[in-house]
Amino acid sequence: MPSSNGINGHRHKNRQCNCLKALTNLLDTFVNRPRRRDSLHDQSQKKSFLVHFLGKPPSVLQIQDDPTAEHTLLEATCLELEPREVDKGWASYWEATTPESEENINAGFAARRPHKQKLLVLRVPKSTVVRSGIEIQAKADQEAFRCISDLHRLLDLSSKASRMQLATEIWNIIKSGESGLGKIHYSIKKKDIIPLVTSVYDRCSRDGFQPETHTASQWARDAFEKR
Amino acid sequence: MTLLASVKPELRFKLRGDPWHPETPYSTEKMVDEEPRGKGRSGYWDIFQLLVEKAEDICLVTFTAPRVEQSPVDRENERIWSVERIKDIIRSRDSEQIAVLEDDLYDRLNGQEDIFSHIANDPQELINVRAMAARLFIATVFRLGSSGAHLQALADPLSRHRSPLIRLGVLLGYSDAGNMECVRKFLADPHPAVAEQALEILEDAQ
Repeated sequence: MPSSNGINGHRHKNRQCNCLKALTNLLDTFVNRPRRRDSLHDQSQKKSFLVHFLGKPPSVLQIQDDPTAEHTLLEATCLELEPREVDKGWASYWEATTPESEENINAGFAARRPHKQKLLVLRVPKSTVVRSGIEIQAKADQEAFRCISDLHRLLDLSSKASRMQLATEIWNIIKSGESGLGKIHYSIKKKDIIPLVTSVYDRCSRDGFQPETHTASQWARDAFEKR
Repeated sequence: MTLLASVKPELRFKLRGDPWHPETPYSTEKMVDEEPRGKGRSGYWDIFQLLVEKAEDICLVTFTAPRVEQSPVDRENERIWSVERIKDIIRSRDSEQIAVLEDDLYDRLNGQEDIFSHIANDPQELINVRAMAARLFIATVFRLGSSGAHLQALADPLSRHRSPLIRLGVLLGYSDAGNMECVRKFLADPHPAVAEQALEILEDAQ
């Protein structure tokens, strides 16, 4: 009985080995493919940026070498990334896949503001947000210009941990001076807003996405008419 | 107690009552004669006259309850409350909501505007909260005009603060107050971002 048990056990082990080999082969087949897909996905992510508009200045991102800011830098950045209470933890971002789409997003956002105002733009590589494990949801904004409405995204920044993670990544990029990504933060001066919104209006119209002007502010509509 | 007066919206003031005679019914005379900061007739009485003379649009002038001397605990509570409102302003993206939050702050801190300055100088607070407090403080000091003269001594050191972000807040405060003379001084700021912002404000103002 013991030997029989031993033989059976051996056979059983052999079967297990075969099954494991088959499973390993199968996994190799399927795991390798997604890996290849992932690398393509990563490449497209590297070209994408998630654009966010900061609130009333001064912002901690405007002066990145303030010696007195060091000890509260991450906490202060977390505060600026925190969604408003009405947003229930989901922050509004826009996905820019090309420099043109980024311009369209900036113009679309500026045109809806009640006054012509300077824009403070945060521009995080999408790959950074994905690496941070922050959930991104596509949520079209029907009120936006048609050329950007599908680029609207919601980021789950409801937890302090997720905001801290993103803030850390942002400052890592700033401090490492990562090249090839461009600035992570920039501003658009008030005097440059009208040229921006009118040029984007023309481009979107040319591309067959005539912007919905009814959601634009009066100053922007006046600018569209005068151009 | 509230009084409906017919005044221009930009001339809305929150006038404070008499701290020593809380049982005395309010009257403009009483309010002015026993006004707590000792500015007498030349202060609130003149303001009230101005409100009446410039009467055009309807708005509400509120005469708040008399303010008694605050205990350190009350003052600390006001400071904590103010920090939270400033954080709400920083989180907000909506200019109308920001205006409401700011009005709320100015109303509550009426007469204690130095709290903004203390927040701006407190190294324990977040740097952007300090910079925003500096902006609100400077804007308030200059909006108060002559009645805010005693706060100017606190404004000057902030203009020379070693933190460029706080100086940026101060600069934006001067811009809010429309004080372009003070904005111009920041053209020589040692931090290029502050100097550039000053130039941008002056260009926009032209």
